[in-house]
Amino acid sequence: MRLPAKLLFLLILSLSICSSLSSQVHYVVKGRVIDFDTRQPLASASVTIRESQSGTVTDDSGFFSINVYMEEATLQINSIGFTFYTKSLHLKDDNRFLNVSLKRKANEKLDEIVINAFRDNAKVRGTEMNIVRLNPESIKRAPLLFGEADLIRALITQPGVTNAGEAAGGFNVRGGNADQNLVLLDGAPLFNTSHLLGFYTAISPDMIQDATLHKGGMPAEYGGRISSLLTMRVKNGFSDKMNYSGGISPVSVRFNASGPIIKDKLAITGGVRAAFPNLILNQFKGSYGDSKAFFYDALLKPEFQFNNTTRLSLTGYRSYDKFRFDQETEYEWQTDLLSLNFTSELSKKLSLKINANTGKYESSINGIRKDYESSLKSSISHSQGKVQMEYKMGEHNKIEVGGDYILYGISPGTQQPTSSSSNINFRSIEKEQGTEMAAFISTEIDITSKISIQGGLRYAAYQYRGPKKVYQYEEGVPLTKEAITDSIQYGKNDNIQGYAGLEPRIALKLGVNDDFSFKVSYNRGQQFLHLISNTTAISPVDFWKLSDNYIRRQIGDQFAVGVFKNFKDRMYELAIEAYYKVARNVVQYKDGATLLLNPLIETGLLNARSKAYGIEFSLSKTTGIFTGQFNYTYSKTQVQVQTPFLTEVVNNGEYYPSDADRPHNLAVLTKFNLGRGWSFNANFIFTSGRPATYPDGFYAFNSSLVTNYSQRNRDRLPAYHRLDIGFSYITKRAADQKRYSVWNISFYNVYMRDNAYSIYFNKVNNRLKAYQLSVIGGIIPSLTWNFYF
Amino acid sequence: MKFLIILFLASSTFIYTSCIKEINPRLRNALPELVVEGSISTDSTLYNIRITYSGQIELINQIPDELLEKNASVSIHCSNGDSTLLRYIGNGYYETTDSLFIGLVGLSYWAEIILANGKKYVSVPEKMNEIVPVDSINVSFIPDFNLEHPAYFRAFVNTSDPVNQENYYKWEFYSYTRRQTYGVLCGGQCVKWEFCLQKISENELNLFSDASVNGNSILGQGIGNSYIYTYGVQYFNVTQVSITRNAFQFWNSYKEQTTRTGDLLDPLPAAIRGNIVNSDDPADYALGYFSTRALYNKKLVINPFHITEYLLIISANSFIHPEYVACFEHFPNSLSYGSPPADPVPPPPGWENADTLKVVFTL
Repeated sequence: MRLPAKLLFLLILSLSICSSLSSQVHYVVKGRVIDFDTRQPLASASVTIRESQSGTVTDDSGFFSINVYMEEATLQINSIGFTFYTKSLHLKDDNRFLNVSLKRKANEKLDEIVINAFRDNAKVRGTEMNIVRLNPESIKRAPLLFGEADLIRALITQPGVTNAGEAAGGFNVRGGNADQNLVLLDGAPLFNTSHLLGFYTAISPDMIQDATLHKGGMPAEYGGRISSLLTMRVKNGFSDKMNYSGGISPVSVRFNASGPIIKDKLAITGGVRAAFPNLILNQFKGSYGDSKAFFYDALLKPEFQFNNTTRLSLTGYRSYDKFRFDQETEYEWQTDLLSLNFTSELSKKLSLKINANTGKYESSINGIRKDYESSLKSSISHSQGKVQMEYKMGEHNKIEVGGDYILYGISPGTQQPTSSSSNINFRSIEKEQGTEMAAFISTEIDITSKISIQGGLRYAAYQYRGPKKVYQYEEGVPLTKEAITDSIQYGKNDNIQGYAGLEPRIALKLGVNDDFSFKVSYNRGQQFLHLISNTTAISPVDFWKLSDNYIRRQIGDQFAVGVFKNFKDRMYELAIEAYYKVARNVVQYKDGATLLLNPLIETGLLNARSKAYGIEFSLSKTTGIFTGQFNYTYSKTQVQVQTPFLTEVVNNGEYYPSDADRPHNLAVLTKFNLGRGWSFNANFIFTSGRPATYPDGFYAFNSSLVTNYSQRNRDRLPAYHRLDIGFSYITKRAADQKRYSVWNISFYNVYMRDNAYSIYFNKVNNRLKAYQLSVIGGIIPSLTWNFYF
Repeated sequence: MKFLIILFLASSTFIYTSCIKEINPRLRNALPELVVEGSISTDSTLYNIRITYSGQIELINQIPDELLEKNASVSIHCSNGDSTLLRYIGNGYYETTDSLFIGLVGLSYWAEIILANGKKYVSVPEKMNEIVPVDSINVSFIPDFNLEHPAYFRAFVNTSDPVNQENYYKWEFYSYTRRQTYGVLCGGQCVKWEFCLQKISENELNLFSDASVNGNSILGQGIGNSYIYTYGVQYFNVTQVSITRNAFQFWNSYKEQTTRTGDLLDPLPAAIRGNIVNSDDPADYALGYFSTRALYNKKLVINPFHITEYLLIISANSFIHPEYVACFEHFPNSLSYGSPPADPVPPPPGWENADTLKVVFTL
């Protein structure tokens, strides 16, 4: 506890020193850039002073602040797809806060490419790498599954991002596990990102301004996960008047409203989506066929603007799912969260951000069989406070410091009867508590006009706390119930086990010119939370577990290098990135382990290490009638169980492919602007099959043939590929037209490929036969109507 | 737009979503692994241990000769110091010879297997648990039938779980159900051996842990089906087996791995870890399990009553074999008594004094 306090002191001290170094007199021009049509802020727009060739970019809310060292200057603002903005500044007399509305270029109204829409030249000029940006509005015009635009489905077309299969929850980044992704909604973490067991993302893209995935090298202000960071920013309500939008698809209905309550002071954004997918589920054969499902998500964000430099917002979010799998079991899962964000520019150079958030994810397995009515609930709650300050030093350099404190509470499982006639007894696994405290410092420095460095250091300290009974096991033997030698009862807030460590993050850019750069990065992360799951994809039977005496923190290191090149005035963008990452203490499972309601969960788990490497190639055409992307990744991800006990060894102690290992990953995304509001999209996806465990022999037992699986993940499912096409039609004809519709007609899986979700073996007439389950086995047409007024 | 809507509607006729199809994946060939299956129970009987090897087996009743272990030395040991040798009786089976060697509640038992190559495998000792009696058995008439099976009875067990101990249950069920052929003509209107009793066991695996219901009633635990191929009395045998926690975990893994459907909630494929280990190499596990079984057995005579006849006609007629053959010769595992076999067939041995249960069908 003493070390983080010291570190925080040093960080603040360094900030004070930096502050005293710079005392030059100059003007500061501030402003905000928004999209003229949608009234939404434009992030990452390039803001430059022509005479000095100095510049900056707008922040997530469209705000910018730039230093000017002359009285007369020319301000230029540029954002891809928008008209160029220029203004002469007379700084002695002028108002130094500018509200700028950029109009879209004539042939690009609402037609910007879906992904990697870097509005400035950040891909080449910025120091950051390993980043994917999504424009949720444009996803609606791409081919859709069952008519629902989906953020994660769009993400997994990007290099280095995969998932476990069709309709599988979560996503894997550069071979990482799904629980190693930190997913933030306005700064608050989401512990479940799926609706309908994984068919859809739990956030409607209607509500999202933009989404950014950091595939590695996440900024030092973030921590707690070792694979990736996905930040989603809720739309901003500040505009001239209330805007309404919605949509109807074969699965859901949506309605959203956004606009000012008190002009320039108070704005609100809200939306709800409800889905009744039973009609679709009933078309499924096999175990989904008799299923019943329902889900909704709702979001409300009031935002108060004190003045041009100080804002306060509160984001409230709920998602809920109910899924009846058969006549005996029903699954429910729900996320609730609140996130309060305060930002203020305290001076010309110093700004402050405060975030406080709290949330809870709860899943429940409900027994509905007569005499055994029960619910088995598990949950994770999370409360976090975070403060950070940014100090600008000169034209291109800045330093950020801050700290955060997180309180975790986990209920691993509580089973109770839900009717008076139920024979189920009350059972509960002791709750877990933990705290995580972190301090960070990061800086961006242009060493020369061609070399930039972005460095960060994060120190995170974690404590597993009481009350809790911790079992002691005999040394030198595997952890089993029989090996228990003693137990210690810890009191409330007693420190049981702690982990702490430094997490360096560094990125270096060498720019050859404005259109060509090399980048290299290294980062380390620590993770104190683990998703306990014995299924390939995230499912409602999974639950979270804190690091303790036996389940150690995960540590991940990633090295990456990249080459970025633009051609033909940025019409073409090329990015090639290579990475190598290793992770320690990844959770694996003993064969046949009991996970649910096991008070000795450590007896079923194993620590493992993983390593992954890959090369990602992405070529984008960003402007013109035809736009698109060609993405290809080659990668390998392997895991090795670490145990001194021969009885726990998996695959002879060798590295074997992890569940996320899919070596070849190709996505070709194309869009043709057909004119008169029409566009045509065609996407082709090819991915190596997921590792699988096939039997390597059969044996007779209990008068049946039994499959023997002696080697984990030594086999592979057939390759996954499909083609989707879609037509989109927008009725908007003028830039200021407020009432319009967007129609989407999609054909998913056009050539009706039976992509394997899994392969399993069943006994038929005393013979074992192999079967392939395909979640989507045919073409899925859909028609979606989105309206705006 | 009109063209697209037509295209959209036309393609709707090709919609189908999930599908399951049979495939022939290329499988790896691993070295054969030793498989041991055996148990000792509280029943006064001879006990079997079967020793085979894993390999490419296509049919359960056609295990290649090279996968049968015929030359092992097999014995069962008790914590009180007793032991007994088993002799090879064929098809991989070894059997005890001492009929007085019977499993006793509270004692622990293990098996030792010494292979011809000198490797010695020993099972982890298992305690014989207390016998837990069955309170009652309910039988329901299930009027569902299709081309593969007629309507059937389903048996349910009710048990009072003891409060002061961890209990793990496994239920076993078999029945003798009436079958019918056209019989054998014996002159004039005479037809004999038209009916017989066939032993039916679907090998349904029903397990239960009292972790959630300790000390309460276990009600309506479905344990097996008996099909009504033709109208007549049926004979049920219900066995409630008390097993150990380790055996329960083994059978639970066995059930998970043998009933996988490939869907999202499927557990990952994994080896089913048993309790038989090479005494010189703790990493060398044999497949299979040697368990202790504390048995409570109950026999019932099922007397169908008021079961709507037309349902049975629709349901069962297609299951009457349309040839003039003796029923007991046509259907495997059928009972026949005496020489020539008795007609009609008397109750199977053991059911002479069994309780009778009337099963009434109500809509």
